[in-house]
Amino acid sequence: MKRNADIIESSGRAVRAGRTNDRRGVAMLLALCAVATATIVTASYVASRENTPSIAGNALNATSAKWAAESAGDLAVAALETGLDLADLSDPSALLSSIQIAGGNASVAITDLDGNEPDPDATQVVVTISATVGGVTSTSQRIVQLTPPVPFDECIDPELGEFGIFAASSLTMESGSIFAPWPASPGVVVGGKINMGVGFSSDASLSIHSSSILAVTRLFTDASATSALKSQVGSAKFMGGAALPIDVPAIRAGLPSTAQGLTVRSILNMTILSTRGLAVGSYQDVTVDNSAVVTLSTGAYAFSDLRLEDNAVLRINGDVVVHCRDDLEVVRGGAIEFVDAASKVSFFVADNIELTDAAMGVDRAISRNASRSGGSVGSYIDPSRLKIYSLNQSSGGSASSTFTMATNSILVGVVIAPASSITVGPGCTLFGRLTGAQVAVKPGGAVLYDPKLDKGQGFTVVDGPLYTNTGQPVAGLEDVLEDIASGVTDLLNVTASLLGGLLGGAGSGGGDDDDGELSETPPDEVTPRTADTAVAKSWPTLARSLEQSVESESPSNGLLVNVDVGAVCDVGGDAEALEIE
Amino acid sequence: MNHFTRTSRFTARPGLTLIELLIALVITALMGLAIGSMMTMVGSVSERDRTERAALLRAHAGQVRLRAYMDPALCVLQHDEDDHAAVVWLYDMNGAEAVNLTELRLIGVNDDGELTVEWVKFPENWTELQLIAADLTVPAGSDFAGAIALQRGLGYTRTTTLLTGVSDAAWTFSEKTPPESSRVRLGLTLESGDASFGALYAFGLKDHAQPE
Repeated sequence: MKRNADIIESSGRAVRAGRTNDRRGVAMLLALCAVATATIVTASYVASRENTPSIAGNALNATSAKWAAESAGDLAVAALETGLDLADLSDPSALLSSIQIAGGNASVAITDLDGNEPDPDATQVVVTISATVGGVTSTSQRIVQLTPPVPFDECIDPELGEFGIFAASSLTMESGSIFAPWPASPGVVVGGKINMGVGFSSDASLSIHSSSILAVTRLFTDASATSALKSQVGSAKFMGGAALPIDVPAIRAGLPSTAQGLTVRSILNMTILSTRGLAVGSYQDVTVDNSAVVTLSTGAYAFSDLRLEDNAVLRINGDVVVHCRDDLEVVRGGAIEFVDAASKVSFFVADNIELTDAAMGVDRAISRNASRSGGSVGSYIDPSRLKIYSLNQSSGGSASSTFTMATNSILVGVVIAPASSITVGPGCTLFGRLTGAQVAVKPGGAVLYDPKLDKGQGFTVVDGPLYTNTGQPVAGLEDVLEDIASGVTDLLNVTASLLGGLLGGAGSGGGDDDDGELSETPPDEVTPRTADTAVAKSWPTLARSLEQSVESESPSNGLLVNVDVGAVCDVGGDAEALEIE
Repeated sequence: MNHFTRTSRFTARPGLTLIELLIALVITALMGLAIGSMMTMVGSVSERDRTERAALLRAHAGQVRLRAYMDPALCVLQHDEDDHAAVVWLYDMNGAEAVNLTELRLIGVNDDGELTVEWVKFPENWTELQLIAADLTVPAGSDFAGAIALQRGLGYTRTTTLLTGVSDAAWTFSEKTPPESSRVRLGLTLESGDASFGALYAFGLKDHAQPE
């Protein structure tokens, strides 16, 4: 036992010595593990927190960029309000480049609605502003409506181009009829309205069916209107308008001197069955039939009756004046078309005009298409190239004539027939404008107004140069209108110089003398701004970009955001898709 | 030889007493428990932090997307408290001061907890005349949401999602009626993980205008 005890004691020393060495190593290992664990935990925590300030910083930068863009936009609009002329800009797409404003770096571009360089006389432009703060860019757009100054002597348009429809005696819009802007017209602007004018007094003469479509239409009555008719201006059918303090002069044209005393080319009635031209001069009844094509070149022509039927075509080459001593008829596929874009024609018609199952102002392919409709006119055609005047009685005009469109007929032109009964029949479309005595648009008939015919200043601009601050006509205006209406002059003789002289405008400029607004010198010599010259509205670019990407079912290449449809639907995921570019 | 062998074995494999072994086990267990608890706690905190950050990201995304609609908006025309929805007059494309169908946007929360925007979109193959005829003017004071619902029934609306995981929404207006209000507030309750977070958006309609 003693020996065993010795062994145990001896071995016990050895064990203690060995255990001491092992414990020293374990403590180190444990310490390393603890340090590693603490490092991992700390690193994880720090990593989890490090994005938060960045997110807040992005939000801050985005907000700062937004307001910097707003400031730059205000600056650009102010420049337009102070008379910035687009024609003077060498590069409108870089109106402002990298300017420091409101803590951001901003750039401003001016384009037209399609993103191209605007025309010098553009009336509507898009101002695109982008501002960057801290790497975050905010882009916004504004639609700016520009109102170019109109020479004072051009404020009155005797042809009443500012009205899409002007009815002197009665106006009827039947069920399903349409009066709207022509969408293809370059004159259509965002928020623009079109005008319907009436020259009669009784509200019973105005009949607008509840299911007719009056798009963005304003109603204007004249001084003769009863209070009941004036109250129609505020009805839900219309988007405003005004009771004008004057009698709008709807006058007929006299025969121009160029169409008088023409050489007599034929004393017999003619029926033309083959393609040919006609010499300038006077004819009796002329009927073009059986798909024949007759070309009228620059000059004046006179006919008793002019009739185009059975796919016949009257081609207009150059500046042509046509005097119809009696009727003008285009029927059964007949067409009046132009040789080129520079050609134009004016018809002076003494009696009735009929357009049945035919077309005027468009290519023969449309007139010969039996299933033609308003949609057949795919692109814009200037309606002012084809004008139809009803002659006044002193020029041989009938006391009461008719203008009838029937059977899906199409007319691209301007009709000025203040004494005529005008009917736009079912399925018929008139692109342009019309003036008539009794105007009726039948079910399915449409009048699509071309806003380019409106000069922007005239009777309907109640805060324009024709009226004083109190809304009354300027001195001399009523005398001018009375003279015009009483027949002192006819439509074609209402000259700019006459109007300019009577209005005291000396031909141009002015227009602001009545209120002196522009003649005032700002007390602090700040460049004067005229808010009316540039009216800006925000445009929901970001929202539309997002929607267009959904509508096209493809990712957007829009202006503002990297719109990822997938990310839009799963916003908890990809934060990158949310960043403003 | 035997003595030497036993002595060497005891030296190479020093044993622990039972007490020492138990103490070592307890210490190890306690340390393991402590580390485990700490890791669990850190994991829990990290998870909560992650959900909070996810909610923050989504709230920011919602702010960007809602701002795209509310900043240029002209007017909030109608508010449906039951459906947490509002009808916004986004822009005045077709006629100044009058609302047309295509200018309306319905912003609301659907049954799937998605904040969506819905708008009227007529078929691409329609002619311009058809578009003009269909894009009706909706008079002020009308049931704008009903007008959109009517178009929805005809299949003429499109919808996209602005935000998911929305359990509640509340609109607040600066005036008595939505159309009069030039300032609008939208409070959303966002679901993230098992937690809910509140997000509050305030919008000023700088181009505020009421339709005629």
